[in-house]
Amino acid sequence: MPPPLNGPVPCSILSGFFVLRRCERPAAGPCPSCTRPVCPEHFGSDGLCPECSRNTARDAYDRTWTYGHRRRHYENSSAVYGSSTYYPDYSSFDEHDRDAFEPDGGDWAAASGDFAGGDDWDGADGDGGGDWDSGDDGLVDS
Amino acid sequence: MFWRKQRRALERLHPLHRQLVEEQRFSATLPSADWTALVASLATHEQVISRPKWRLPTRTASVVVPVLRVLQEDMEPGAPLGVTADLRGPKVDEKRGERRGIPVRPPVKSGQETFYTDPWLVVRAELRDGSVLDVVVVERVRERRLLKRNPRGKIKIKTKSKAVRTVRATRRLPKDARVARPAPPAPAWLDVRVQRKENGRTVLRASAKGPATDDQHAVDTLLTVSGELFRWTPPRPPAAPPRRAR
Repeated sequence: MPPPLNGPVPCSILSGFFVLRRCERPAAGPCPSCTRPVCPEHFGSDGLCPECSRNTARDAYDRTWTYGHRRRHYENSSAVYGSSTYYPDYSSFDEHDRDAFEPDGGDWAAASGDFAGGDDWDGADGDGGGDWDSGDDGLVDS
Repeated sequence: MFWRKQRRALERLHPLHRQLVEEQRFSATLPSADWTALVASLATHEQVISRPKWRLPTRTASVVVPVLRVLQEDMEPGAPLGVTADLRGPKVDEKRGERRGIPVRPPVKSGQETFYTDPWLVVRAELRDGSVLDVVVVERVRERRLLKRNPRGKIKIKTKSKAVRTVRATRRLPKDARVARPAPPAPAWLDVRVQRKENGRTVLRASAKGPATDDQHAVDTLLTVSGELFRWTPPRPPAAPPRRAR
């Protein structure tokens, strides 16, 4: 059983196939594999989030099949279009992928040094942190 | 052997599942969430039904269920999703079209070709972005039948079939939706048309024609043709973050 989350956190699963959208239902707990917050709707029968359990879904009767197939479809489409940015609503890296490059799990506001909340990234003096202040989650998908 | 237990099991299945087993086709419009019950019923078929006569058409698992799953992902639970699937195959009397003779020379005595038009999957879905997606998969089969006679008078009939699959997708956008030509253009085999209606709506159409190969290829083509229509509508800009109070 995954440990409970601290406070109300929205589900971070990206739902949809062509029309992508964050789920944003209240999360029930983190995925034991990737630690992303997941709502009860998106927890699979194996207790993992759809992205982590997508490799085990063998056919379309499995509820999590769509997540694995979405990724395969978008990867294969790069060959059709000869580009990796052929869908404006989808990029080959999503927030989950980019979080892997963040040493602290992708929380920009909590980072130290150059990414601390006091820096003016938009170059405007006294703007209170510009576009990278603590109220911004920093990452925009697509 | 009267298959009494099997018949009772069949009667307990979802009505559309039963119709698919008995008639190899179904047509229904249901709220998106209600299709989950059909998929769940279809998933149990192998365990419940063993009678060969009541086998599911192969395209059920390979095409119909994946398409249902994909469209459900993009729909609100109560939005209507209409599916007409006719999995009887193209060589059915009501799908037979033009039949004409073809010029022949000895030893062929006569020849004729028949065309079959089989729109085996028609889908209409109201998506959660306010647009309506229609997808039609049509298989057109040409069957050539030649009658040959050898010098000893023996007659042979030779038949040859060639199938072409067309996938057409139409997306009707909500009023005043923004449309922009996507940066990498669509490949040459994918025909795209944009039509602006007088009422402020834009209709995007895409179609592709190719050989009717395996079912996995049908799903991939269907998703690529449908997906092309979504490249024309740029994503909405993300909501501006709240400004921090000074």
